[in-house]
Amino acid sequence: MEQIKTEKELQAKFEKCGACLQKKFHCEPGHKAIVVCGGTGCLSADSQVIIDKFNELIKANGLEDKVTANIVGCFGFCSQGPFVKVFPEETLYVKVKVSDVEELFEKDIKNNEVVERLLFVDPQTKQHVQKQHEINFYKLQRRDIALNGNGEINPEDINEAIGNGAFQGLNRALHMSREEVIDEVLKSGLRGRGGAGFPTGRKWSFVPKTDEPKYMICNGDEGDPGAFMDRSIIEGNPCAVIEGMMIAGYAIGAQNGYFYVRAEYPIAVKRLAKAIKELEEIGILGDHILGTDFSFRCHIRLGAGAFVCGEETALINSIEGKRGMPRPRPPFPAVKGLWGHPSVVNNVETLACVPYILREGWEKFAAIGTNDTKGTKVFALGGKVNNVGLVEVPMGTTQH
Amino acid sequence: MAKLQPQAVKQITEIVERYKDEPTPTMMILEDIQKEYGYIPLEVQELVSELTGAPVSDIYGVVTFYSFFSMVPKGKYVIGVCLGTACYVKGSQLVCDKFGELLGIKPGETTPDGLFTLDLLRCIGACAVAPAVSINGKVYPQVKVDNVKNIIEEYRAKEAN
Repeated sequence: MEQIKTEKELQAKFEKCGACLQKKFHCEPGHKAIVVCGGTGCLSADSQVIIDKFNELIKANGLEDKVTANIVGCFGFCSQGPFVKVFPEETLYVKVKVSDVEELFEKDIKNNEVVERLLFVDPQTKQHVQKQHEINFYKLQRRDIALNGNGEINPEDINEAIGNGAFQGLNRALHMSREEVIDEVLKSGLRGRGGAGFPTGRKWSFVPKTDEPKYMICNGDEGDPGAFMDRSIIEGNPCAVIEGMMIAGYAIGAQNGYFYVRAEYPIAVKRLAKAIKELEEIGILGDHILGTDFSFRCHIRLGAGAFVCGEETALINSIEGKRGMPRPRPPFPAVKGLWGHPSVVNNVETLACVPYILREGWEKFAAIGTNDTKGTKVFALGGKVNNVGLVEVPMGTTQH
Repeated sequence: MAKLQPQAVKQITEIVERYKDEPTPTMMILEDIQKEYGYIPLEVQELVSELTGAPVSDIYGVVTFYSFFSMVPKGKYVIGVCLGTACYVKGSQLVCDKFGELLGIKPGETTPDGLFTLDLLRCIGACAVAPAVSINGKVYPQVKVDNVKNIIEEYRAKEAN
């Protein structure tokens, strides 16, 4: 794989892969791109078999040059899954079964005919809806910050992530001083998405500017029943969380980052590990990142089924190979955390918001949400509701 | 201390060796042993203690703290029924009861033939497809009480072949 060791190489790759993505989404007549949801919910309903079947048919029909099929992250409308979306028309098929694949391929892919019976039916109007953005469920949402790339890019292909703008935020951060990065996040108004809502920039600013080792920790021990935001974010766009962690690591002066992810999330762990390995191979993770003095490495640690390890000091104990018992505070982790060194623990969704802030600037993030709480929030809807799934809405959006 | 097979000693030594550059590898070592053998008996904990220098009391403390570690052998297929809130309100308790009834075991127990263990899971984040059952990592969506028999049969058939 080609190396990305300088800003210039990153930009060249961004342009090249960005163009590939655009070509895929707006492909010319006769070409098609099929994406299938690879979130936990859809995978459990055989979405992997659906992709395999599509790929088989593409091969059997000799259409490898014209048609592609791959998985993407969670579409969020899980009660309607598994999803199959076909570009360039952006036709969204819902509740697709393995037995539907042949018909879809014959009609839509080969003959440009929409298969109406597999379209979403609006519960009010009883009309078929062809495109994703026309469905009411998506109308109030903006899925471009924490869920950026979900349902669009292949989470197992770092090229698609880079084409989608991954590491542009990191690149900008590396042109700034550490204090400026912290200030940017502070001004954006980003608060911790783990629940306590502590201003993220302030948390970073507590880390002393000493020479001792420092650690970034990503809390992926999402244990609250009914919540699967963090799971979907890692599964759908692992590079976003890695980039967020790298930016945070740069800001606090850390060279190592630990992802603490629940063992109950095997797909998330697998995709995260794959992304880390490939980013190391091309040089985005490692020494002298993008030609600067900044060096950073990522590690994964698995949780072993203890709810309390979502609490940050218990989590640190667990990484240290101890029972996951919370530690008394102070000292706070920012002063004395992992192995006794300054550490910052941030939630998955928090870190996923960071690249957007650095890439687009704090003003754009701060323009979303309410006076006190900026940006968007991802909510998991489950239980006895009509639209089970995952939504990302501006802070302050009411239930109605 | 019961004697471990030389093969097991060799394999566990290899696992410990894998993480020799890690500052605090206890969890990673135990996770690999749990995955490999399905349980971590006392003799193995003593061996890990010997190899890593960590007191056996610490290792015992860790093994008994985390629900993923077990000191008794688990079945070949670990049936985990999610009892998280979303699954619970969609009836996962009834699904769990049905598994218990058909397998003749209580949660936490293993069938005498060593094939199945019934486990209760806290939320596995598959709330969108509640109630969810996870068998050796494979998630079964929207499991109804009536499906339980078929799921068990699926694995029994696999074994018969």
